[in-house]
Amino acid sequence: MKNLSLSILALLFTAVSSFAQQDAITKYFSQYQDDVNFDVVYISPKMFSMVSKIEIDDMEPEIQEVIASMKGLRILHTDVDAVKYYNEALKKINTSEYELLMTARGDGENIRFMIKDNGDIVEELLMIVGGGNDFAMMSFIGNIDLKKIGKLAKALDIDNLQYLENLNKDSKEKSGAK
Amino acid sequence: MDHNSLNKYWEAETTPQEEQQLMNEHIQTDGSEAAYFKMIHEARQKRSKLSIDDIKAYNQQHAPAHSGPIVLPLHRWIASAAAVLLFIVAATGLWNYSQTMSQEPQMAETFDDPQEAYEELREALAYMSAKFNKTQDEAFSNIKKAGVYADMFK
Repeated sequence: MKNLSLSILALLFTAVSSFAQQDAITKYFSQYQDDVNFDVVYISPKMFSMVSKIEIDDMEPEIQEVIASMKGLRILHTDVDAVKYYNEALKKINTSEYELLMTARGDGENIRFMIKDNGDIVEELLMIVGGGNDFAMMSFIGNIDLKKIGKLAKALDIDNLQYLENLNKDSKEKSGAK
Repeated sequence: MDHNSLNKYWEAETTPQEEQQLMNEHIQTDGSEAAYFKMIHEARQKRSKLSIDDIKAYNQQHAPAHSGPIVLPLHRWIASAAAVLLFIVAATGLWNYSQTMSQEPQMAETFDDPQEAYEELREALAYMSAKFNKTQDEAFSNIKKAGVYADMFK
């Protein structure tokens, strides 16, 4: 009887621990997806499969390769209380789940790259940008080759450092259209 | 020697007084029944020497190790069945709960058109790649600086 009670307790403890370690990023995105201060972009694995099938003549081979290996994209952005949300995100990320890849600070902006890996395979690349006027969190899911990610900017040959501003503008236009 | 009394004794029909009298008579003789009555007499004497403390000490010494309540086998079986049932119900409940919890909250798809999704993805990748390179450059620069400082302190 005592053993049985211990087994039940152990089962409960295991279950509670596993729930506590749930995907913090998903929870974080879900928390703010309906918040008007946030721009949210979500591209599902199904949409990725559709994107990889469409015929685009001028698609760069580098991006084609990266898209083929990706399964999901989540973007969360706000230009309100950027530092507050940046710090909050760092606190909520389960550090046992994500490994810090690199970090940079400059021009009033903090950038953190974190990965979730399974051996040699990077399954998720998470970028958190905070400070100044913007807070952004981007999560790329799939089999990610970090070398290819670095080469993309050059291959695409587009100045995209204003991307977050554009994202904000697009989002406002969309909500205005509604 | 009163044989009638002896027969009555063997028939278990004597009173305690008669029995005591019979015993007193026989223990002083060497007759065939003497040994038996002597043994009974000695045993009774020994027993009469026992005090209540002796009895308590004896009881304590021979007390069973577990003096908990006596559980009937049927009750034990019912308790075990209830525990197993509880375990199964708890495990099933936990499994269902874990299945519900493990399903990631669904986010709404932002784009209906794959072409639009591609455009957004392209820009997002370019942005991230630029930030990735910037962070990487800064990290390399910091590593170089650390090397210089390390050389200074050599």
